Amino acid sequence: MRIARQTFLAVTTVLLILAVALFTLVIEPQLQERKARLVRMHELQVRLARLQADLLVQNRVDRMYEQIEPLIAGTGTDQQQMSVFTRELTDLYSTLNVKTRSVKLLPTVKEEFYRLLSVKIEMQGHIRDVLQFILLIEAHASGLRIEQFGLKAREITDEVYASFLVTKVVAESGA
Amino acid sequence: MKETTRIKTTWASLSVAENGQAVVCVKGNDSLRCLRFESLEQLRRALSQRAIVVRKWAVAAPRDLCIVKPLSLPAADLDEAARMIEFEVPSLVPLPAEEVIYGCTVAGRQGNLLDVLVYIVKADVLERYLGGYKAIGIEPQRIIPDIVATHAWFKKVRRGPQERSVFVLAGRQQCHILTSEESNFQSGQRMHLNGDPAASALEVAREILHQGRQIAACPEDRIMVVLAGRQDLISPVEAHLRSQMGDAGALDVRITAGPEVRRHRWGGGTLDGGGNESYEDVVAAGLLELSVAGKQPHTNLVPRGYLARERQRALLVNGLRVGIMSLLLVFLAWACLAAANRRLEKTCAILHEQIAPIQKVAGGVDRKRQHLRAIQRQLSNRGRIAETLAELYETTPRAISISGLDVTWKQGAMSIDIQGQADLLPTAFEYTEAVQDANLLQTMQIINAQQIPRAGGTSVVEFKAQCSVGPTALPGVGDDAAGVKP
Repeated sequence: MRIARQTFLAVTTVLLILAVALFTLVIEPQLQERKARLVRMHELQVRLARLQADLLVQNRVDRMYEQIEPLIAGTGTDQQQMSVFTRELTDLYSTLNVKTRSVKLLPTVKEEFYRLLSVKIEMQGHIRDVLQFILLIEAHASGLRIEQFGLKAREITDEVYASFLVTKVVAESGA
Repeated sequence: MKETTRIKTTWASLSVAENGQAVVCVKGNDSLRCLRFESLEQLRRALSQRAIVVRKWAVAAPRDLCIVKPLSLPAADLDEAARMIEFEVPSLVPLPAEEVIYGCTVAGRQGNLLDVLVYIVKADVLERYLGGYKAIGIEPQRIIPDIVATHAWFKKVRRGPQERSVFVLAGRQQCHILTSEESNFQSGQRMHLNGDPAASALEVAREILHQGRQIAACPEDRIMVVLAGRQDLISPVEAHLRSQMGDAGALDVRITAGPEVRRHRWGGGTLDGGGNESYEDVVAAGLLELSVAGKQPHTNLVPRGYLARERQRALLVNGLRVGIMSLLLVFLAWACLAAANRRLEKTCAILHEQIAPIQKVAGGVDRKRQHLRAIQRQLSNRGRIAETLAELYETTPRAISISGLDVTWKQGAMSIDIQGQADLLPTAFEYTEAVQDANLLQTMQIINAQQIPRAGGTSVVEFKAQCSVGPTALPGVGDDAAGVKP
């Protein structure tokens, strides 16, 4: 009886191992491949649908893009674009009576088709000049944007400390 | 029946006559069919030509091979008795238990004791006997003593409520007389007949009466006598029995033609039936009856080792079958998945073909859309900071001075953290009411207010407030891009 039970257990174990081995070696790769191909097919279907939709709005997008193309046209490297950006900012505050305490270049954020350049500026000056700097940034032709703005007043006087986080969008390099 | 007719069956029984003729019995649609072969060689040819395909064979062990011994055992049933016999064999025959093969049938019961008949055969004798069958490719699954098979055949044709019976099968040269009690085989006699039917009939009748007296418990017991076989012999036997016992005597004499058995000679020709049953036909029919129904398994004289080998072989064959089926199943599963993957690959290729021309035309639209959205975001709320600061300047009461501002954008809405000072605590809270009338500034909440004493007995209230600005956006160049969605 004991031998029969041991034989049964041994045969069952061998069969289980064989079944697992067969599944792992034969069935599992096919299942994985199927899963990958299903994902790929789904991606292609989405892409096709998107392209077909793009085809419908292509003329409208082209017309609108003509208007904003000068704002985003910049195909240089990150360094080159950052240099242009800081020069634009310097041009803005150099005409004002403010003292820059620090200019910090933040890492460039790379999106799918464009890059987002960020610069943090800390300055000190008369509140009138600081507000003037804000107006100049918001009216700038390059599409600059103030993401964060901080203001600290000094007691009694109109001198303030101000900090700005300014961003700019440029096209991806090589586009 | 022609030789070209093919017979395929699970069970077949084989009985060999003294003259070498072989009788094969198979089950037909409605009755048994007995095929008579001139010799085992003719049967071998039929088997090798696959004119007869049989999975399991049952053969008869002649009574000359067996030693029949009665035994009483304190067993509840035959299974238990069969296990006990293993230890009783040395007392029945002067041979070691491993040199003999035995089978058993129930003969009766006396209180706690079970009466059994033990059929003992020497292993080497049986091996030699089976050698003839092995030579023609037959390895039987059941070997049953011929008298047990004959008794089984008679049991099938027995009618009536009598508990005690005498079965008589009359052949050309021999007459077989079997006794039965409560359907259990008791004893078997074989009488050699002389040429004179009248003298033979008288002799047989006397033997029947003798056997009847042997099995009768008391003189009033009614004994059933079943006669089968040669008509020219059993009719006078019946007459003798009736004359000696009287029509209303203790014997219930019946003549039976037995079960429907169609007899053929292999190669053509139908043998006569109805009362001409040969002993081999009856044995073969009885063997088949026992084998197909699996009755009396303890009568099987097949060596245990052989049965074990058979079981092992069957296990191996079944295992192989299951293995092959499993592999086939795995292959089919693999093939199905492979086919599905191939179909998916084709679908992907078709999608690629559809995408390629559209990609050329509309490939840049997505990039432009993303640019539009980015610029839209950059230009949205343009001028909002300046306007908000201006409104803040206008709405701030004169009694409040602002010392710090933090402007941030949270999910497209501007939020301003204000730090300021007021002369009195109520003045700070009046600031929130003043903001309610503003255009851009929506709500203001005083987070913290603290009155701080100053030199000269005066005090000042320092507070922190949070102000939210409405989401109304100034239109930008890229605002239209919001409507350009795929």
